[in-house]
Amino acid sequence: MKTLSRGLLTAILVIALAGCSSLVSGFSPGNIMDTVIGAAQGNPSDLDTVNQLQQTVSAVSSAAEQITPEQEYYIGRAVAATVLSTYRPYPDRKANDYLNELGRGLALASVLPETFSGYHFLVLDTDDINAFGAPSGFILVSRGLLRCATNEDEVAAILAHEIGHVSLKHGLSAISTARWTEAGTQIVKFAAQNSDSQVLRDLTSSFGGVIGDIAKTMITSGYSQDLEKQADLEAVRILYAVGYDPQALVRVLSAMKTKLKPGGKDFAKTHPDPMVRIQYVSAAIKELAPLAEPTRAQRAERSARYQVGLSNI
Amino acid sequence: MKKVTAVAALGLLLAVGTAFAADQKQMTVTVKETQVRSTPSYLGKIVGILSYLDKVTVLDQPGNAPTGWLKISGPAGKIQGWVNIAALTTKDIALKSGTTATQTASSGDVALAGKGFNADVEAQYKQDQNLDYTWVDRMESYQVSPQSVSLFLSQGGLTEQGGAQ
Repeated sequence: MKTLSRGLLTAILVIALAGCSSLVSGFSPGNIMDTVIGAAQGNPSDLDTVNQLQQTVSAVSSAAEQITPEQEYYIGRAVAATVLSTYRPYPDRKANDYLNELGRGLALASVLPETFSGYHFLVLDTDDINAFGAPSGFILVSRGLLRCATNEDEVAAILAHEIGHVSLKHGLSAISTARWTEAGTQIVKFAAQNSDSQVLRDLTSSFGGVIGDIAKTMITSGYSQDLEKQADLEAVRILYAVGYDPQALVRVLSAMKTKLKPGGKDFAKTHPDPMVRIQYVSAAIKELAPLAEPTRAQRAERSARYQVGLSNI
Repeated sequence: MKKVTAVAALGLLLAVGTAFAADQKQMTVTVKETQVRSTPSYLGKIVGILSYLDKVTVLDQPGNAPTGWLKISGPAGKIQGWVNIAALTTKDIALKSGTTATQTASSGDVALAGKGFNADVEAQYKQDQNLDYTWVDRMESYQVSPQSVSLFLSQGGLTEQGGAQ
């Protein structure tokens, strides 16, 4: 009876996994079914394999399922701390307050308007043209990149691109399948025995692997061209929804094209050529009906607060 | 006999259906704090605050409810209003160990609060890597109230489209 129920349980797990069987290396749907039947008939070696399979299936499904907004928050904090071990913060209160007001307004129009502790923005004290949208909304933007903007609409375009990465969860997509599996196993173990210090060390090691995958992608290799395009198009949508001129993104990209130094370790290395981005961004903007022009007073307000926040950037 | 079986099957079906419907109506807050609004918009008046792990009941949705917003009734029916779906989950988030949680971590529709990557893991990682979190904490401490974001947008001739899909 025990054997049969274990076989049935595994069969259910197999069905649940049918859509992502490629995640479990070494198992194909065919040999999984043979193993399940063998185990149901009491074959000891198949039983071992079923145990192993069950563990793997649980780990894979749990990892994806178990990353709650709370856990994503701890991942985001660690990624931000890692970025801040490379770049110094720029502790100008006016600049940081301005980015936080502007950025939070923009995030409300994103597909993920609320994260575990909300969106947070910080300026990095470097001439590099760089920015990082860490999971859960920890967004870091360099002075060098902010200098590519000349007004509020253009700063909004920079922040909207990073909010795009966060809201579309691009950081989490940098975590390898093997890492998910490992992390899932450790999370399940930790849930069962949270007072065990060895289990805590193992889980911390998995956590370190997850942070390493994300940091390597964000800081060194960059996202795929496809993910950058997604973030750009989401930025256009956010800007338009809130009422900023989406053409501002094109202007920032043009400034970037002039200022980026070939061979640099910033956007020159991690992002597609601005000219390529301008092409698809411009095509997306052409599809939109023109926005209502801001009144003179509204334009003056945007200009005044931009001056207060970023005139010394 | 046949009739009895059919009635029992129907009863079972209804029981399962009812349980399913009840499950669908209960949601849990997954963010530290979220505001309940009088209308389905970030412009709506704040009528209450919900905290992490608060349970809400999803009420019947008006036909014209915008995507991304749910009309809910708060814990013990005390608050009624609209919450953005980004702050809610259908998962039953179990409480931390030592409380009344009976679920296990391997159950697909249960997540565990405070488990997995949590403050303990962060503390261990911080120590192992000798990472400085000072500015991450400072970054989080920059306070911008929902009211001042609203004012920032309206003075600049901008709109809140909260949760537009």
